[in-house]
Amino acid sequence: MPEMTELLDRARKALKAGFPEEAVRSYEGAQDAGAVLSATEHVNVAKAYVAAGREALALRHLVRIVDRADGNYASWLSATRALGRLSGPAFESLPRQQRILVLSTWNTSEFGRFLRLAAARCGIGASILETPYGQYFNVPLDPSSKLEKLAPDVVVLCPDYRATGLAVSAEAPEQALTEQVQRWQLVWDAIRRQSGATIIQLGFAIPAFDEFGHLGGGIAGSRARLLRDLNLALASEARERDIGFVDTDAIAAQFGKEAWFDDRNWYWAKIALSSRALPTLARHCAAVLAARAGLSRRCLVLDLDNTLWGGVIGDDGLTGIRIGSGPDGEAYQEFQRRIKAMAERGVILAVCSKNEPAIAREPFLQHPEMVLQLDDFAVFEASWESKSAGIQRVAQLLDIGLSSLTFVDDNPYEREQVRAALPDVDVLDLPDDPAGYAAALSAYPYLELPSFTAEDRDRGRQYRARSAARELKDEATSLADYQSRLNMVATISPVDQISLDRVVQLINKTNQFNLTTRRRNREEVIHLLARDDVEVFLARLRDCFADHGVVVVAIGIQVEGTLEIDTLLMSCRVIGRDLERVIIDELAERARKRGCSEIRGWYLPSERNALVADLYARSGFELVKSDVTGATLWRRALATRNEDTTCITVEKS
Amino acid sequence: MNQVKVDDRLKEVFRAVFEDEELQVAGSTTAADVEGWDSVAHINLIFAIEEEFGIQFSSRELEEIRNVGDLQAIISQRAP
Repeated sequence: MPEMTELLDRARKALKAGFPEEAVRSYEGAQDAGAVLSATEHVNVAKAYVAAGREALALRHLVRIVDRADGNYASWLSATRALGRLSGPAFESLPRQQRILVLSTWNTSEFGRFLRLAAARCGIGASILETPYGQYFNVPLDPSSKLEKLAPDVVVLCPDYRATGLAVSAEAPEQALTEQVQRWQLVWDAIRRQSGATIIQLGFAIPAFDEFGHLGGGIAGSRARLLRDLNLALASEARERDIGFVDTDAIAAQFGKEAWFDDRNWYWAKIALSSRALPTLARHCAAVLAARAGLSRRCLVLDLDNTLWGGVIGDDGLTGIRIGSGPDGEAYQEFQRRIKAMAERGVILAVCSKNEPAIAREPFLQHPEMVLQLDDFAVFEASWESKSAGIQRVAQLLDIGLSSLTFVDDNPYEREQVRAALPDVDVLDLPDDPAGYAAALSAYPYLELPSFTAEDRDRGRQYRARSAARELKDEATSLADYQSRLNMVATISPVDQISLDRVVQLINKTNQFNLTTRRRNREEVIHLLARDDVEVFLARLRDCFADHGVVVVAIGIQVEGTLEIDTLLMSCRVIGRDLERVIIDELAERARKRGCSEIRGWYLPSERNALVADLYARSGFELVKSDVTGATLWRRALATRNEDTTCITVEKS
Repeated sequence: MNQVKVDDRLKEVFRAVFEDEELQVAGSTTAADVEGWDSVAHINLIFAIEEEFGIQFSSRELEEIRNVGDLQAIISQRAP
């Protein structure tokens, strides 16, 4: 419609020219004219509202992106960035506020941003608590109760299949499965000891095919089979223990595993899936979060004409409407079947139709192909008033809030009208083709089953009691216990042709665990390696679950009787295992061999390395001096040997 | 390569990823020229471009891309 395009155009120009109020007016005009905005347009409207100082409305438009998870990656990026610029009050308008801690075995910083947007769509104003990647086990098991200090309301656990360390085929499948189940549940126990936070466990997305191909599912020890069994075990244990479970594998299957898995993203950024799949994952995760927070929708409010049957009953009559036969008719019938199935698991149904009440009831009373019957509906609202008025009446009659309702209507104009008039009512966007209605309903994630029957609730209570009793018996697993079972082995080696690239990469991209953040290019490193007065080595780390590869680079420069630690850095994926102690001991050893009497090291503060400000203090060094920038110099006499041991076995090559 | 004309669609993707309606990109534009174009933004940009044009870059190609002109050249070759 030209009028709409004109208005949208005017709005864009106004926004660019710095007239947000004008932009807002034009957008609102376009919407009144029935415009259905694209994802990009929603972000633009949001920006207009922000510029006009109306942030709560901006938020309402940003969250519209969430239900368009596919094919809108760029819009999600824009939306999350715009979201990041909204102030507190905009979020406080949402019904629930939650501090969400994301623990993962992969880099979830982008996912965290997407989750915040998706959570807002579900009515949750979320603060995402960041932890360094790879801290999935360390944070809950940390003896200094990091978790308690973070005080999250929710902990979202995001493992990925690589972190299971499962071999393509396990020799003792039952044992392998038990070990995995215990390992991942260990974290639940640890969290529960410190916090009443809601726990959401993401399952494992399983690559469609591995080396076993089609045989995999049938072979007891195959990784594919073990991962499937692991998912099932975790899902059922989660239900027993009042923990939310997100069926990541199902999400990935629906998304299409070929598109979901993108090994490049792992190699580039340690993200376990394609970035283009992150919106879908965030959307589903938020839906489960919302269900646990009691924010799920409970009632479907259904239009009739062209929604439950093809055609208009008032015009086409009983013989003219399409239900049951013909491709169209079958699609509508299937849609009715799905709706009926939802009613059977507890969803409330209501009708809201613009019709004469008697005519609206005819198909239910007389058409043989109708699946839904009049008594399936708790309320049957048929009048000539606007849909929003009808829906309000439905809510009143049912005595439930508007925020429990989802409106289903084939007509986009009606949908937008309801959205504008009743922002608390959720609206399901049906596709144009009725053949897609049933799938659209099945894919709608905001009608999560109420999670407990009274029986389940009791079971949860019993489990918690048992768990408390166990604690008293001192069965708690500490981080040290856990780490000692990892069988960690560190291999210290010189830098050679093969490892040089990786070393240079670490030198240039390690930010957090980096004491001096000295960047050097390839030539500079080669030059350093050739010097007599310099010790350079790398360390690899492996444990019983994975080989983490080269994770440490250390450089010491001899100045007379001192070995100065020029560089000491570690990949964030292995922080928290005490590997630094091994590295410092090695540096001390090398210093001794050179006839030095002490080792020294600077801590040079950067934007990202606050983590290691106290590393030397913890490692038996004494402070020599500090300066105004916060830089500190430390020394340790070599006569002092470090008595503490680590759980790490050290090899040299 | 620097003289390559940058497609409007590619410009739009850049504008969306870097949140800048006014952003100007030319064939010679590099990461150093655009504020916020760090390694995280780079990955986001690649995925957004792949989605927009329905193509996929190889890791090799990505390593070799030096400026927006290089990106555009691959897109022009690849996109239907």
